[in-house]
Amino acid sequence: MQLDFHYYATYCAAVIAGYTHDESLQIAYSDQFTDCCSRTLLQKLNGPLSAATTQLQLELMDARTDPTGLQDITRIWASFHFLPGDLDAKVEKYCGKRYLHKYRLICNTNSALLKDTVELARGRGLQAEGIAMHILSDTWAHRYFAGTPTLAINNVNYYFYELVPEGDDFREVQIKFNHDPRSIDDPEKSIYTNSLYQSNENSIMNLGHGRAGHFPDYGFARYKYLPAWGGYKEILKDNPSDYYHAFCQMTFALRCLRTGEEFETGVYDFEAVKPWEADIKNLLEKRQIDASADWKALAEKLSGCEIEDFDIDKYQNEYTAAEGEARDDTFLGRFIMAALAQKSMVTNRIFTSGNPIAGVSVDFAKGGFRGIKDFQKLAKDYGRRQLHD
Amino acid sequence: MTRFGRILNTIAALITIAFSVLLFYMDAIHGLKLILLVIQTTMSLRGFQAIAYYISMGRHMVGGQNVLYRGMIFLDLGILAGTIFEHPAIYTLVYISLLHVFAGAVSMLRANESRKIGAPWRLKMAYGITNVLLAIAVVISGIVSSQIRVAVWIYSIGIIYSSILRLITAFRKTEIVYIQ
Repeated sequence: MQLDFHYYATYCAAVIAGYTHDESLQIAYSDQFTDCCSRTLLQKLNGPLSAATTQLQLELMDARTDPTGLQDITRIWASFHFLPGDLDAKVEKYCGKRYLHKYRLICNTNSALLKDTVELARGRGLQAEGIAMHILSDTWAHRYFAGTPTLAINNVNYYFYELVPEGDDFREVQIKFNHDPRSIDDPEKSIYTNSLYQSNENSIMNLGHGRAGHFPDYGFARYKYLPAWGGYKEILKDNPSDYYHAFCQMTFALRCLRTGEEFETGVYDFEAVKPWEADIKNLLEKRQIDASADWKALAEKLSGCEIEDFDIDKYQNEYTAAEGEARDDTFLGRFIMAALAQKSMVTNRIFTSGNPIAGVSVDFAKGGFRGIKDFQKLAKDYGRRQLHD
Repeated sequence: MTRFGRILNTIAALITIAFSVLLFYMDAIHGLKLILLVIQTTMSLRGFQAIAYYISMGRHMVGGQNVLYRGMIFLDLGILAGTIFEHPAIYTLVYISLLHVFAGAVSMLRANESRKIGAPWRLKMAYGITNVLLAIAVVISGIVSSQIRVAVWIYSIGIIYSSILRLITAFRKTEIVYIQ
């Protein structure tokens, strides 16, 4: 998904869920900021680098793909953009552990990890809720791809067709992929940019939906293709329907977080969204590579307030001007804390399922603090919450 | 990283450092031949690796047979590389310079990206420029002035650098704490 959904649509969902304009804006900002908080940005802010929630293209090109490097990449992408659907998934035919570990990282909707993600955000502020909404909505856009570099799972081939609505039916158009990152996707001619084919299993080009380009991130996209992992079984992906489900699930999750109700997977707040159903469905069907203007108009209609454009610099001065522990109480400080907690939780779930791809997780309750220093912030926060309780 | 992984990485790094030190003390032609031997071995290993990859993962994958064919081709090339053993200089020098140009270009692009958003960029840019200069030095010394020895030294320096990075990685803290 892109800024149009992560920022404006999240704002709409938050308003429908009962948040005020200011609160909704903060949730939406945190959702979109999850796509901006790279190591390069954290370096500029002098923040903890382990809180990175994304990697820039050139950071990825420069990333090492030895086991430690792969663990680092997986922690970022599996935790924030490709939440694994089933950490105990089984493969139909016999396969080795190496394949199984990657197979189990395939992203899907309504997982146990999604429930953990939403519940983890509870009581940790609007920033944590924004991060959780980012992860939730990405499970719909990124399902069937894994948040780790893997050719055996994430590769796609020439069998990739877009289903373009024509009257009451659909016309199948074979998608043409090019590899020039400067070229702009052209929905009219069905030409999209994707990453270059790299035969190395762990090549960064094989991360997530890179081999299918940005295409899965467009709300209007309906397509069928052969995933590398599916044993030649075709997958039909209907983004307008999936994105609508994402929106309704996000509304439900936010309502739960606001009211204290327990979040359950597979539940959608269709009822609350019903008055705007036609507007949202029309918007999602529109073949455009950036739906920000339409979502923004809907958001302003919903709340009656003007929605400012997303500004990556908005909270940076507040963070850099604060000193010492006061930084943790700034907007970005709370975002960073929530990001560390999410990364720590997902790494733990993957590690305890017997899968080493995201690295080693040590339980603070059993052995005290060990490992990467940046996470000491979590230990301090834990201490503060214990005192508070 | 597991403790075993750390030990393996440390051993691998120490062996490659020893190898590059050895290159410094060899005469140029023998040095280049040794480098060629490394390239030849690497290609053959890549061939074996691709075949092993096909068996462990590629056979589950749509279009995975291509991996098997590629593995066989690499293995063939590795074996055939022995035929250029008597005239290795030009091939080896071109390989070394391309290696440095690529590393340099990536680093400079990253530096430029960092500069655009106001993050530290000078060190990355310096690293990129140094790599490109090293590539030029290899071409000038090895191909233009026939000072093959300099090219061998540059290759050795590159190996030492990556071995040091490997050592640092082996001792870096990587565990993630989990707090409920």
